[in-house]
Amino acid sequence: MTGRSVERTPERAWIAVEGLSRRFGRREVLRGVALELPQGAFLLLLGANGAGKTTLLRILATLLLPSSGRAEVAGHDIRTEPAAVRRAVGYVGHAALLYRDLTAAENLRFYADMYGLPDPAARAAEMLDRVELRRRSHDAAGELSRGMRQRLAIARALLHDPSVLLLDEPYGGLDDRAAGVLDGILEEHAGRTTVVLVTHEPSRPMRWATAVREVRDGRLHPLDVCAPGTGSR
Amino acid sequence: MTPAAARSAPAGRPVSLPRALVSASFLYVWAALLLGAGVLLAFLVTPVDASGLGFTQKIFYFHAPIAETALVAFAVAFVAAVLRLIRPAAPPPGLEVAAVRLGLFFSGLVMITGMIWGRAAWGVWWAWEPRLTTFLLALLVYAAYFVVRGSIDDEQRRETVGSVYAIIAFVTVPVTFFATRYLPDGLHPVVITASEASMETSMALTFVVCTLGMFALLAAVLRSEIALAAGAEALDEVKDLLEER
Amino acid sequence: MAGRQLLALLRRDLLLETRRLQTVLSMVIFAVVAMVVVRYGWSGASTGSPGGSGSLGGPGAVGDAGPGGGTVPAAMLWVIFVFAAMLGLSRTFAHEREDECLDGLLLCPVDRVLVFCAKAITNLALLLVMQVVAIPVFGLFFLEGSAVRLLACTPVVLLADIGLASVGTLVATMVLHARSRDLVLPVVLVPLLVPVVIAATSATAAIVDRGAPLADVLGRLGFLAAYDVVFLVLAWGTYDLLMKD
Repeated sequence: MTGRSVERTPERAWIAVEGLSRRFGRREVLRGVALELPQGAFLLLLGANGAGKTTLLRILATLLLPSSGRAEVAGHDIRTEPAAVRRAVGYVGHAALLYRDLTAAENLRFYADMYGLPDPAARAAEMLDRVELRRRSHDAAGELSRGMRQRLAIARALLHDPSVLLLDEPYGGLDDRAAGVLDGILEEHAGRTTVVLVTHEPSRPMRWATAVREVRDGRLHPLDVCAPGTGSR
Repeated sequence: MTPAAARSAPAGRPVSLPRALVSASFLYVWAALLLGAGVLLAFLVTPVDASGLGFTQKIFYFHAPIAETALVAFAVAFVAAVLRLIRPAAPPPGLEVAAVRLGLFFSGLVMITGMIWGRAAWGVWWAWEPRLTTFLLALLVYAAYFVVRGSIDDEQRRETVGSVYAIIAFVTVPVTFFATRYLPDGLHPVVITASEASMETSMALTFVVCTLGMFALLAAVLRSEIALAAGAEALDEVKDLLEER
Repeated sequence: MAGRQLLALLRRDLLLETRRLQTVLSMVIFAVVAMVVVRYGWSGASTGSPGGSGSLGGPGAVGDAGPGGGTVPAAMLWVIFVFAAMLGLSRTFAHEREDECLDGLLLCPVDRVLVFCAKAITNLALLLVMQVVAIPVFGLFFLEGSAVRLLACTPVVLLADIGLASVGTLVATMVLHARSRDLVLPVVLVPLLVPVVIAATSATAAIVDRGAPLADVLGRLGFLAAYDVVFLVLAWGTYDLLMKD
């Protein structure tokens, strides 16, 4: 059960957001965000701390509900079909989302079962290979270094072969090895998978970017694109 | 919402404070009249109880209506909570909280009048009889409602969790009532009820008047609370708009 | 798919609880220590002075020591179980709180009610493990002769445990994001559990103290079962809303 079951057509927006707002108490963090990304787009999201980048990402991942507005991810509405969206989305957040007392393999095995993947043990092993953590398979996640935990978190996000990747400052605090693994993965997915990457240092992922936006005053503002765009607004 | 639209209607629901106050005042007047009449009836018209309780039996004309009103208040909170979970815009904001608060207040009165009655009738301040026990539990459960709400910072979550709790709390009341039959009996079961079999007309009338008076009082305070809550919300929205400029 | 996810959740909980036996050990130790404390305190007041069991004085007080002191130890047993349960319940989402694992769980396409089921089953299992140790200890300390009768209490214990686990898990979810969670959980949970404690105590005392056959306590068992059903339905209906943000 992968996230690519919806038929892909070139004109169809893979992520479509319209009039999205989100308030926390009296504070309006996002107001009327609009966005359309075709399949395979790679969006860099920049902005000051607290601008709402994480909030937007979490809404797209169905971790948060918007206060108003619509959003569609991979052809499914986030309000009415959240389970379908979850199957299509891989999310890497600030925290690792891993159980410290479980081993790397057990963590991935658990998530593979939750996503209903065939042969979870094999898939877990495959992903551990991909992020170069095979030798640490049976170490508890709490014992891994930050870079290794982040690699494991990326493995977790990719387990179910999502068609959308949402990454929240994935390079933060990574050592060179881990950053290299992440580079490789992004290289592999750029153009195939729709990626939204929040970062404070755009120079590194810029080479794959098809669009760049800044979150400011609760809205998205376009910035200069350094790579040729593919028709995203 | 554009500033122009906001100037004319600051809240989602049109707030007409004067109209709200009028309807609340109307209810207050009725409550005062009915309760006044009830007091007069209870102390002047109804016969003094012959079975030995004497004058103190008259507290019962208030104890039972207060108990019923408390339960009605909790039921209002329950309905408001269910509505909010199904259709978030439907119940007036502040109704649930006000209803719980009033239910707590009336429950406290039930305890006090019940204890006075128990002291007069059986010589004890407290007994584990079904109604007192159930209301004591209701007091604790609904007091916890405010503990729960007070511990959650996020406004939306607070409302949702509060509503779920109001539903659970309401279900707990009849459940507790049924559970009290398993309490070990004391030396003699204490039952705080009037003997309904032989209720004279004047007694029945007093009951009805007092009950209606209490309900009117409940309705009046709830109306005032809803108006206050709507007014506070409107004020907040205006403040937000001003800040935006 | 749902069955597989439920098994995965249970397997994860089992692994996490057995890697570090923190929760289950604390519950067991607490229960045994509490019984020791009460036993020592009890030998001081064991000759059953009326009113010595802490009531407000007067007839009908819960916990008058019957012959052989049946009711009070039974009540104490269940009170200890409730507090031991709370130790476990406060840890219900402890693993999810580290590294935002709750996000990880919510990202999966899993029905939120399944999460409730898994957590409730885990809490039930923890309770049972604790009781497997605590009940024999209770028999040893308080019941010399009639300890064997405790086996007959098994249905009571099972039904009451289901109530404890389901209401406890529901409340633990409600205070998931609350401040002073460890304070709020007991305050909110204990009043809701009073009906369970009353029924379970009554049934346990009847079986242990008076040697009553199970048929006698069917009413109480039915009550416990009804309580379980009511709150499981409530949990099933509201859990999705509680998990939403």
